[in-house]
Amino acid sequence: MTSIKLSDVERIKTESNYLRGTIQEGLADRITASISADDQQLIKLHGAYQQQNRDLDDERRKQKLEPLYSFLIRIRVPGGITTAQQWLDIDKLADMYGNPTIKLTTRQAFELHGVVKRKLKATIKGINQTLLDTLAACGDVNRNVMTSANPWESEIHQQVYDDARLLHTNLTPQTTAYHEIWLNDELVGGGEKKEDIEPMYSKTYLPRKFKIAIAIPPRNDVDVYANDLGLIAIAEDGKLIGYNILAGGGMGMTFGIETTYPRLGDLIGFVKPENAVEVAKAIVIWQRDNGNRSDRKNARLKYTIDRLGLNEFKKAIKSELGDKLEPAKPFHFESNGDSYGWKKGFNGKWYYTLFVEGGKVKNDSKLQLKTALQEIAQNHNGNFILTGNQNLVIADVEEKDKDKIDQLLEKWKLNKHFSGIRRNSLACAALPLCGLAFAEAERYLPSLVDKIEVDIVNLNLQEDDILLRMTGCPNGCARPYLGEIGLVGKSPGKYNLYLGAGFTGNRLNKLYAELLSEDEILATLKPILADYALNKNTGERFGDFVIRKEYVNATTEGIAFHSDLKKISK
Amino acid sequence: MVIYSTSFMVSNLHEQGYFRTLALALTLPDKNSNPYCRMTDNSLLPLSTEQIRLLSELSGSLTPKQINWISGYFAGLSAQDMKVQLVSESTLTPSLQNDSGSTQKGKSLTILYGSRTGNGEGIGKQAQKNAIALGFDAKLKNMETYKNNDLKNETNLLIIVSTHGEGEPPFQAKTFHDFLFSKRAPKLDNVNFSVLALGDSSYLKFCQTGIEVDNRFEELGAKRITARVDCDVDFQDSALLWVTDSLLQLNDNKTITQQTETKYGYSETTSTFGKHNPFQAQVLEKTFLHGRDSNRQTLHIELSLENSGLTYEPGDSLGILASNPPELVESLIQTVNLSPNDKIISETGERTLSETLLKNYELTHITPDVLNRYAKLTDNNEIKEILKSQDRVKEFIYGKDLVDLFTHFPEKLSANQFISLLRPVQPRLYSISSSPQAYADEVHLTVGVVKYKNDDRNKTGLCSVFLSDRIEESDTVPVFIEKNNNFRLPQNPEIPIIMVGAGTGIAPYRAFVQHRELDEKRGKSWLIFGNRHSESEFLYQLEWQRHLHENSLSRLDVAFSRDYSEKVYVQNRIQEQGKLLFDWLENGAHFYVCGDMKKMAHDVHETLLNAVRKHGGLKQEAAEEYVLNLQQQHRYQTDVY
Repeated sequence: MTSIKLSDVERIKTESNYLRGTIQEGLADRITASISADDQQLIKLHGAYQQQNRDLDDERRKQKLEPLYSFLIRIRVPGGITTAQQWLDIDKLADMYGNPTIKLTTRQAFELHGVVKRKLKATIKGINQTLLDTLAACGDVNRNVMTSANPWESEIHQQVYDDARLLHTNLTPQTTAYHEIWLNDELVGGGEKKEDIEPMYSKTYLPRKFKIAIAIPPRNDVDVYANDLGLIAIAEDGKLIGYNILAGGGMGMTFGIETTYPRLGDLIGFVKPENAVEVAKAIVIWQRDNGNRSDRKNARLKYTIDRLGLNEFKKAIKSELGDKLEPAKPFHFESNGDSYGWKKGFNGKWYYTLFVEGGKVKNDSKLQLKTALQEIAQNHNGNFILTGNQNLVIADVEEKDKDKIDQLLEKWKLNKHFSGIRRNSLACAALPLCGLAFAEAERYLPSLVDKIEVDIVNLNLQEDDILLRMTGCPNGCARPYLGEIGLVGKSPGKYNLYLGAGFTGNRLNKLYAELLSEDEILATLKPILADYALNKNTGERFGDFVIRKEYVNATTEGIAFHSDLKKISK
Repeated sequence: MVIYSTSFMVSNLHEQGYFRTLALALTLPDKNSNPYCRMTDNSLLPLSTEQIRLLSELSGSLTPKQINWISGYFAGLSAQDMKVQLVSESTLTPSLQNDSGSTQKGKSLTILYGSRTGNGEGIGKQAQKNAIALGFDAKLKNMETYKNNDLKNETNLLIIVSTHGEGEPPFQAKTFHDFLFSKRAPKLDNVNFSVLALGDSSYLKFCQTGIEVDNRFEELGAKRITARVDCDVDFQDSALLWVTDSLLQLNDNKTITQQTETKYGYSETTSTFGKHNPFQAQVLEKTFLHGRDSNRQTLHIELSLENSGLTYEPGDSLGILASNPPELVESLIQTVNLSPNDKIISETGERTLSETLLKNYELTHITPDVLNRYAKLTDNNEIKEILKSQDRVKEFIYGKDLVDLFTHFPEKLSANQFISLLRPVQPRLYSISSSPQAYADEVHLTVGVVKYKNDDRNKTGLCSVFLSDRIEESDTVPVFIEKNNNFRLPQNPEIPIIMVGAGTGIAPYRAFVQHRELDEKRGKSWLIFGNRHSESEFLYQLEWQRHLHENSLSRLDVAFSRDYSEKVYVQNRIQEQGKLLFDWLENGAHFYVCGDMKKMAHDVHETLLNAVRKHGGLKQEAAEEYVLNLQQQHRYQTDVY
């Protein structure tokens, strides 16, 4: 182990004095709107990514200007629950400091985009004043903890949400750098500055990012299998009795490197609610100590487990937890999408799930979504819940207020009915701001769906829920390998097409065709959809159908993602 | 090409009188003996028969005094004819020194100039040479460095002073002007003086500083040699008349005995190209420097000087002769109800009205002189009423072009009447933003593009929009070099420099930094730049970043006024770094200010004073002295427009 060179990010973390680096100096530098390469790594752990508007790179080089740098700020929203007031606050911050859209992410976070460096501090300060924060929203730590957004469906939702917050709190870094840099905290008591301590993470934090989600059956809207640590809430007679534990899920891979692959979490047992934090910590620490710190492309827990063996891993966790880790309990998922419209909860309150295409909250000529949600927030006393599918639940609406909300939904034309494929579509942010993107996603997918819908309507499939997921690169932000149809950008205008994921998020898809242009995507999908329309069994999902009809082989485990391919067209 | 040696001919004119000149010209020596003395092959005499007849007629009627006067006049005039190859400075200087060295000291004369551009200095140099030729002990002094206490000891004083903006003295004359109007101004009973006022009649208080200085000298008891002459932008003829007249008055109209130099300092290039014979420079590249979020434009344009013989130094300006927007010409002709094909006859021949308007007159803005002529010509009471108050003139002409004038006050005019109202077009000068060492045979400009809407019509500046909209890559642009010896890098490259610039005021610093980058012995350099928005208006950002990285620029501070809710300007950055600034000055740094913002130079000056006071631990007066010293040592130079 020692002979292998550590990745440069490890050096950066080590030298950073608990995530400080030279971020302060970088913020003060007016000659560039960027920060140093090292600080760009560190600032992720503070919740910000440096980006640049890639659309303008050539133009600005000619203008003798540096690229148009800005930052993405990701705001952690544990369990996706925010108050209406917080919604208004974030909306205002986007206007004041952002571009001014809000992105609802696939992991129940808010993202503000286009925040320039000199406004970073005010933005992060403003976010903290709303009692949300950005610390550990990105970077080699535990990220935002997700929870199914289905209070109306499950009596245990509140309890699970409370556990999610506990996990969130217990796994948040302890460094004071965040407060020091962004919130100008005075030193308590005016004494000597104390050395930071990170009892769980230590000063090098984790080898790679770490994601936790809790699913509350029957809904797997958080894609629990795609997380490093997945918890499946188990209820008996309407009471939470504990969680099944999944470990080793993750989406990201790299084109051309077959040792990188998406993987679904393995079920390793069950714990009582009071042991959830303990099991999470045990897994985080095992990954901290065993994860690959040389090759960041092989650093996630999924690779550590495959490298050291699932049994080895289970043994290690069992030895920490002892009898607290019990055999897994039975559970049942029905879907991983959202169900739209009004639902009445156990508490007598109402919940409206609103489709937000690509999770993008903005105003454009077609839809004034940002203004609409602002007005709804102004007229709403309850909460908003961000779903794992980039959508939004207007939550906890009193019976008496339901009509008012309905009127606003009508006024702003938000109560439209969408096709099954559109309402199950996800897209990552991609171009122009994301530095990783090879191709478009968020700003392109809607128009592609318009074209797919033509066939869908002709085939009378418009009410069939089909999971469609598009990303601009293989890193997996919109969990494309769990799409019944997955489109992953490989070069501008060209996508790899994956088929055959399970409808409940329980099976990865498989590469079907490479480097398809739009016309080729449409031409490739059309006959398969036609076949599906004609020959599907009752209740048969599209992802299952393409396996039965041998368009692709089923991916049985992550390590087999790249193998067992049919002949790839092109 | 026909090239004549004017200095040769002129010197003989002076010595021998006019008929001898003709004879000498006819018996010129071997043309290879002097590269500047070449005649045409087919005719040795440059004059037509008719011109010879006229000359003979004139000369026959002249008194010696008149001949003397005319000889001086022609000497200077010939220097301005840019079609004539000029003798380079170095070829004449030795003989001049010999001549003046061998003669006894003549009458003492001080020529004192104060102007922002090189014009004042150029005229001063000409006057000095003519004066030396006449036997004067003539000294040329710059107001910026002039010791005010010497004033009372002057006997003969020729003053050349320009006026800046709205009747202010130029920065270079400010100290002298202040002194003159202070209680400390001495009695000047023993001083003979004359004032040449340089100005621009497109400004309201035309030649105001010259007028003030002229009156003040009289008040202080000084006696006029000749009456003040007020020069407009085309100053050469009147300046020459004034020089000639003043010197002859002082010399009791005695004959000139020495060779006179015939060249003005304001065009020291040896090129055949100049203001009156501009070089057609090809556009190599055009690019707009602002990012798309900016609502303004700054044009970066690169021109080729290949084969022009034009040379320049960092700090110099490029003059451009722009033509008017065709749509403005068209709309103006319609407004005044004339025909584009109306014939206009001028010294240069007959041309159509539209051709004339396109090239020869200022149309994009109204100037008070045009308003004056219009009032006189038409007897329009409304215009006369406006002209009664400067404030009203200012208000009226603001944002208006000539179409507006003739729309507001329509009058029936003939084409020639119409033309007689207009102001001849002036070249536009831009500080050069390249170093000839870094870009051989090229000249780069950084041009703020003037476009705005007023009275429901889109208005444009003349030259900036000529360059931005009407000139394409590979087109040519008529240009000449305008020297600016008042804005120069230190001769010793090791001396640190501090460069303060706002907006396109960054231009000469691009040249400075490029220039010093090539010198391994270069000292430290510090740029303080301001504009509105950092993301879109950080002019040459990538270049500055490279210079910082490669240490060809030591420090860069920026102030973007619209980036924050509170506006921040270059002077705020200077104030923040006051201690450092003072340290640099103590280490011999030169301090430069350049920019187009009205208040900037003043605010920077005040900030500099404050920094010197605070960090030098000086009282106000001592701080002023310190800054004055900087100016006098040419360590504090400004190029403010």
